[in-house]
Amino acid sequence: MSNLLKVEDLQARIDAPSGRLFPVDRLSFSIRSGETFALVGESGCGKSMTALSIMRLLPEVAHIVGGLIELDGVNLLSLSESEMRAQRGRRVGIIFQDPGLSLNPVMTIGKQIAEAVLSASTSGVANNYVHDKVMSLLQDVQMPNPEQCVHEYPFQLSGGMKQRAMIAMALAGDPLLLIADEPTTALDVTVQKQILQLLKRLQRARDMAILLITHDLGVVAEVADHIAVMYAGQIIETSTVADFFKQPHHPYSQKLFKSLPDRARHDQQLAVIPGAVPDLSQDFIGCRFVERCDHHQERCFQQLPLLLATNESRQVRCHFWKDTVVCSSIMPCPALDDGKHLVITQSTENLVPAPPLLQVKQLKLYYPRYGGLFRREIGVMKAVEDVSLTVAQGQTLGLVGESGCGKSSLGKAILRLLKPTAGQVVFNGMDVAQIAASDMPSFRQQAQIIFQDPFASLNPRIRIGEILAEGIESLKIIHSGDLQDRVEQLLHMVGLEPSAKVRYPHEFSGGQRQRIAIARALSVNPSLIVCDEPTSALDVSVQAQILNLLRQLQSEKQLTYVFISHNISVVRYMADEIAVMYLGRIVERGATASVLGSPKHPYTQTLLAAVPAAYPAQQLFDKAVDTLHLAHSDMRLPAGKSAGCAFYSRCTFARAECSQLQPVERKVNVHHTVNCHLY
Amino acid sequence: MTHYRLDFLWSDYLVWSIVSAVIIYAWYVQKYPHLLSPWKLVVCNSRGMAAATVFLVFIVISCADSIHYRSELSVQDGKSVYSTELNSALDLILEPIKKNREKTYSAPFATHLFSKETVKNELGHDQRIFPRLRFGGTHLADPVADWLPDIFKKSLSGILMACVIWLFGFLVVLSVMSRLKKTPIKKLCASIWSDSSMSAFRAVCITIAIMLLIGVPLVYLASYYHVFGTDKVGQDVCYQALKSIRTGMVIGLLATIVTLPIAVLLGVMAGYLRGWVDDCIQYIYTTLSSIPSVLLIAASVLMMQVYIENHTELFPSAESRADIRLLALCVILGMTSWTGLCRLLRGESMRLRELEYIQAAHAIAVSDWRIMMQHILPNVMHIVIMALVMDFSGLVLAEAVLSYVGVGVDTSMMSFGTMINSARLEMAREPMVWWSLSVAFTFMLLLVLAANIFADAVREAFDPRLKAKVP
Repeated sequence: MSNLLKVEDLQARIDAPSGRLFPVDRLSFSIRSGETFALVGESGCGKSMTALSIMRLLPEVAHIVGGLIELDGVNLLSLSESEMRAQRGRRVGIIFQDPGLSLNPVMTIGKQIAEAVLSASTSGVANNYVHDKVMSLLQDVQMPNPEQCVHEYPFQLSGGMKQRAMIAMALAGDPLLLIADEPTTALDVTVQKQILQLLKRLQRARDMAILLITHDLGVVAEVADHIAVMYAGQIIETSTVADFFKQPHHPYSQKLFKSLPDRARHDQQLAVIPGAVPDLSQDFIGCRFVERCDHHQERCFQQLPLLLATNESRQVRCHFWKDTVVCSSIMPCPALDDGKHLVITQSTENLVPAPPLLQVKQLKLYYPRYGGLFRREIGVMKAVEDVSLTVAQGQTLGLVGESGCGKSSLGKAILRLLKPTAGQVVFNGMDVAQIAASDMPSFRQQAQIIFQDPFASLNPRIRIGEILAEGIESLKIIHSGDLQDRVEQLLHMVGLEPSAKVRYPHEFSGGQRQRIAIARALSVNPSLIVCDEPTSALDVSVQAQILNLLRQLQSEKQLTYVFISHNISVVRYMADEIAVMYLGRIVERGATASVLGSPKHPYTQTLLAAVPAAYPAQQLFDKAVDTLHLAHSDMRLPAGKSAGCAFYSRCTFARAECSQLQPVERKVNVHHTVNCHLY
Repeated sequence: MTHYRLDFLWSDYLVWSIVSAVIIYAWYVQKYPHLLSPWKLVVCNSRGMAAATVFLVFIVISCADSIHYRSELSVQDGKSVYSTELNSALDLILEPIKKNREKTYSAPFATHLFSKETVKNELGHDQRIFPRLRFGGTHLADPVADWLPDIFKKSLSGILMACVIWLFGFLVVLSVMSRLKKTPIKKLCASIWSDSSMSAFRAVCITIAIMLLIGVPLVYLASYYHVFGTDKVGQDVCYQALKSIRTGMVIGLLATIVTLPIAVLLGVMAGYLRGWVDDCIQYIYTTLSSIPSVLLIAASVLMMQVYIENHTELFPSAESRADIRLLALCVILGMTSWTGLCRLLRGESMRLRELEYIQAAHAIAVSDWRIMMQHILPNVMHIVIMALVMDFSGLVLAEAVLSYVGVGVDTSMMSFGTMINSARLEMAREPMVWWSLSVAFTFMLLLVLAANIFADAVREAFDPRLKAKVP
């Protein structure tokens, strides 16, 4: 097959006040028609810049300074802007990460797609042609209920439906190449699965090439044929997906795999890539990865490795790739190479469980909904409904569920950041739901929270030292020594330099900010920490650092965690016990191994089936469950409407009683309960 | 030698306390590197520094106009008797142009009055002519033939003088810099010329050069002509414009200072606390902003005026009465113009209170008051600074409008508003008297523009999000 897209020596430059930098530096790759080519890398490695260069839609500060981009024989860089406009949409389409931001909120879906159809067609077209085309596009992207959809506004659609609409717009001009820039990152796993399947199907039907940009190796394994790994503006490895997942050649790719929590055992430390991505504004002499590489030698500092072909379909940018391949295999091995084992008070099932630190009993949290002429309260949104949990001292409870299932609300209700509507939260013998104002400080001191977004959770105007001292001052915690010493001690605890205390949050990277957020939570010596998606905004290698840090702190300080995440593999690594939430209720709960090893509830099964595995050969559990489940997983009942099981409308095993009766908790074994009529 | 007695007005005290507050703040800032670093960014912003240079000139003028004194007339029984006229340092400097009054209107650089008058000639006949001015261009023997060459010559020598002054100043600064940085002057020159890090310094030099090139010839010419013409009573317009600067500045600064605490406190409280506090505050500002502000201000000013007239014993001199009226106007303007900023701040605080760092602060039991002051206030500061400067400009303009309507500053006080007010009749004359209005307009534009551009630079430097965006 011939190459559809050929990129050669592409170089883009950003003129920042601090100096020039090259986010894309002499990049070469090619995509054949009908193939899915994945560009993988951590944030800031230049993968989105590459996509925007191909579309010639770079932001103002960036320019393409060299190279060649040839799409189906046309050199895109030599076209004028008006000629390029004709290419966009018709020859090459793009979909972005967040469908919520890429759709115009004040136009109906139908109008927006029609606009794309009109701009992609060459001359004036009849109205009914446009309408037919819109409908056929919506059918192509398998939009549920397309007739109704065209008249709806983006806010009326779910995230998955919005992404479908985006794809329909990108397909309006029947492009030869579709660039998908993190198309599923903002979506839930079950929806992600559907979108990925949709992309694959569309590709086959239209013989279209896809340039998939992602940070998720799992997604790559699901859909891609070819992979290119980017690091600091350069491609460091290209390969077919099958070969790559069998054995990555570049030390960075190998490290990426090892830092995934998927495979790691609960008592092992994750492998981390030390340090951070180098500053791109410097002049590189040697290999860009050299400072973080375990295998570096003298030559790596002196000479930039070229992209060497190791066989006809593989290339790697490393002087010593042969040596590195020998000493590490990515497939499951008994012990990871550094062999570090954490000494963790293992809470295996046969041990007597520690006394419960936190007990949640029949907790309800409703948000009022307003409407009508005078904004009266017209009903409630049941964010958390009848949730009961127990967490023992020193343990980690994992809360799993899709967005909107109420897991964050539950976390905040436990901490009394939100006032529960009913029920009890018993913490250390006191009922937090009814706590007196005078007891509040002592509770605040014992229970803390770490948030998801390290960019929103630190006040940008306050220096780190002040952020860390704030809690100590406001709770008047007595400690030996000076406040400044304590701040430095906290920074040391989370692996930051003491000099960090005089700097502002924006001077730190995402991972470092999350460390600061952890230090803030630790500043008051809590015994319980609610971790609300602490790693979902971070890159894989940084995620590993943070998870390790959390584990290490847990073992040092006997901390108890409530770990909220939508990422099953992270929870699997972190949690002793898991609770799966669906629309405000806990549907399944029990020891991690038991719940994830043999999930009972159909929802848990759906969820696990949807998780893309970073190992093509590996499956997370015995996939007895058919992916048929996923067919209508996009549709949800409005919370609080049905009398029966909340999952009823999506469940393939639903029976008559499911719509009538709320299932009660049933014991599967000593450490595993499920709320389902099937058992 | 005459003696002087300093006699400060209330607004003088306020002006000087603001100046000293700024100096204390600057001294405090330079001790802490983290407070200093955004100001360093301001200093590196060439646009901002050029505007600051212009603004500084306005500040210096209004400061000079805020040192009031009375001169001693005579000594009786060992006690000095002071003049009833209150002068300022600026009046002292501008003494010549203040004193040299014409009879009525004269155009800029004119040698004759603007309107014909009946005068007796040598033969005792009545004649309708444009009489020569008492002061402007009296040194010319033949005003018709000599006028243009004289102006040309004088401006040229003025420009030469400006060049000399600029070069001298530049060399002094350069030698000081080379002494401090221990680099030879030649190298320093080259770096100023080409180095991007010196672009702000370059901009300041150029701004000063332009101001000198315009200013020095004008000053030189001002001792021979009325450079901006004269008004109805023959008062020099240039003098009026310079005196108006202080009025504009005082109104802009003081009214903003009155606005600020109300708007910030109420806005942040409404946005953060919500509930009944929010309802109350919203109710107040909705009510306030639904009354036409000119009406409200007019009513308040008229009440104030009546109070002042009924309590003359409290305000002994005409100047102090005018001054207290100015202050009252500031307070009234401030009290009525806080609603816009308050509404903005309420919205922003409502957004911020949902952010995670506020929730994190809740989790470590930080008190509401501290959250508002520590977490919300610094994060809305960029809005405050922006609104402040917009308000400053708006208030300077509002003064003009109010004085035009007749409820502004005292008629005896020179201000842009009174100048524009008088221009109402002048513009209707035929031929038109255009210079009062244009001079007031130009000065006001310069003042407001300089303030706006400088504030923009400050806002850019202080917003960490803007810095974080640079990759």
